[in-house]
Amino acid sequence: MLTVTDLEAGYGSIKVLRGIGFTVPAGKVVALLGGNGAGKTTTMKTIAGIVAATAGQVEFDGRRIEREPSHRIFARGLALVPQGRELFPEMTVIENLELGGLARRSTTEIAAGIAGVFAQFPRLAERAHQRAATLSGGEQQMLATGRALMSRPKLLLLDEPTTGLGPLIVAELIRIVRELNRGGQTILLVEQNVRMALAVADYVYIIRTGEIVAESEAAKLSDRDEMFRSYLG
Amino acid sequence: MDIATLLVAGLANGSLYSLMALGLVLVYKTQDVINFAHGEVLATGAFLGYTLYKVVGLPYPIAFVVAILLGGLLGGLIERIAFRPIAHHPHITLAMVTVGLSFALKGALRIPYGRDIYVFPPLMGHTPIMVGATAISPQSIVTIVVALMLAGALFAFFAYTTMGKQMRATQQNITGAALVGINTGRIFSFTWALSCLIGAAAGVLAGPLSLLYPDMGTNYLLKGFAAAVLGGLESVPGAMVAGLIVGVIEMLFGGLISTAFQEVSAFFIIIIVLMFRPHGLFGQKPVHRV
Ligand SMILES: Nc1ncnc2c1ncn2[C@@H]1O[C@H](COP(=O)(O)OP(=O)(O)OP(=O)(O)O)[C@@H](O)[C@H]1O
Ligand SMILES: [Mg+2]
Repeated sequence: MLTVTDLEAGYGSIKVLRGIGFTVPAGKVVALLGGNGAGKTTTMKTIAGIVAATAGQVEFDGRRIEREPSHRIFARGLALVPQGRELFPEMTVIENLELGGLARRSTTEIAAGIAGVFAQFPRLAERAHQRAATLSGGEQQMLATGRALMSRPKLLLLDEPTTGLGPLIVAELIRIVRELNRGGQTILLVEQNVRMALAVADYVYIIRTGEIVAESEAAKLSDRDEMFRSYLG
Repeated sequence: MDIATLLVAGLANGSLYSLMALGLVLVYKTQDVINFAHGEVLATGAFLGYTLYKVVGLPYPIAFVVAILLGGLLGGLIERIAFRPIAHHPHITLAMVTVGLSFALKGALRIPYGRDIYVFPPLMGHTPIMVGATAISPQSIVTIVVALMLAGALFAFFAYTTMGKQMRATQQNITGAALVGINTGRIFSFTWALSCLIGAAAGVLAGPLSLLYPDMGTNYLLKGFAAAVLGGLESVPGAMVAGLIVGVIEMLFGGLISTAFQEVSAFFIIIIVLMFRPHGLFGQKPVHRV
């Protein structure tokens, strides 16, 4: 589904990604683990076309997309739930969801999509007419995820969904990611929360200062594994 | 002078300030830039209207529509040619570019029209309509009605159309907009087009109330900017209401107190309002953004 090869990117003269490579097979959940400032968010943004790639390739669904603008990448079926959530603060929950589907879906599909998201996240249904700015952190994460799902993406990118959230909400997010994946959703997940990543991922890559330094099947790892912990720094 | 007469005249001028403020607010909400060339957009609209109506001889409604569409086209081109390549530069750079643009547009208008002053005749003659002791100029009525219709169309556009919703989304969060598949570059072009379309409409309507000369926009820019600030700079309804307030204050002050301070009276009031409500009448305190 997604193959990243020798990807380089940065901000101005600062080089952050130094030749990243990994693959996300269709139907799988792949996790990218790494410490603060490792370049996880930059990787996600570069794939989604928000940050420009300076070298390397991103192949999505059989096409090279590393030179395409974000809206075209989105139209191909790749949706990112960003670390900052990036909601529309003055709009209601429903309006935020609607915008998630507007560029790719018809009005009837959008209505069905909203019903689907509400079934998945009952908390959002209760807040349907509240402005996004008034939601709690967990609810905002659910809304950002729901908004991305509105386009029925082939590949869903989740950037640290659990940051700043309590254990109950984390458990709920784990349940949701598993449920999505059982429904066939391919997912690339970025996490610092090793528990969360190992609970949902099929395969894990470890990123450090802009490079992949280790990879493994998730089933072979335990979050107490010393070798593995030391890579996260 | 009759207060009702002053009120109607104030509302007519004020609705032009409202349209100017709307155009400024639209661009500001999307790109955080004040378009200092917006007065010249108004002047361009006025001269386009004049040329199509008086020189080409088109019927007024057609001349109006063609003039504002050309104004919109000008706005789209300005964004595409002058702003897109430098959109990532600091806001102050972009603001300076609009200042340069203001001089460029004035210069461009002087090529065909020189330094002469032109008169745009009122649509329905000069004879005022008398309602009791109140004299109302038909042109004032035309101005107010057309401005309100434009504002109504704009509200409907933002509330119900896909493009309108995507524009509001882009105003609130550009990254978020890009992530839901919105072509933000296209939104910027369209925002400038819409802003300049409304500015050109203000120009065509201002024609008969003012005189036509390439510098005619400066005064409207100042008043429109004052209205935009009074309305909260980010509020579309705020811009509408504040424009009318500025127009009415100015007319009442000039008619009842002193014409000497008429031009600055609105600014006094605005300074007083901003002392008590620094975010304007309709502005919100900068909320903690998600
Ligand atoms: N907009 C930016 N401009 C300049 N440098 C940036 C920018 N965003 C990130 N960086 C730098 O790039 C490096 C990688 O940042 P990135 O956000 O990709 O890390 P991350 O792995 O997502 O970290 P975290 O776990 O804290 O989210 C960091 O050193 C950071 O300071
Ligand atoms: Mg990050």
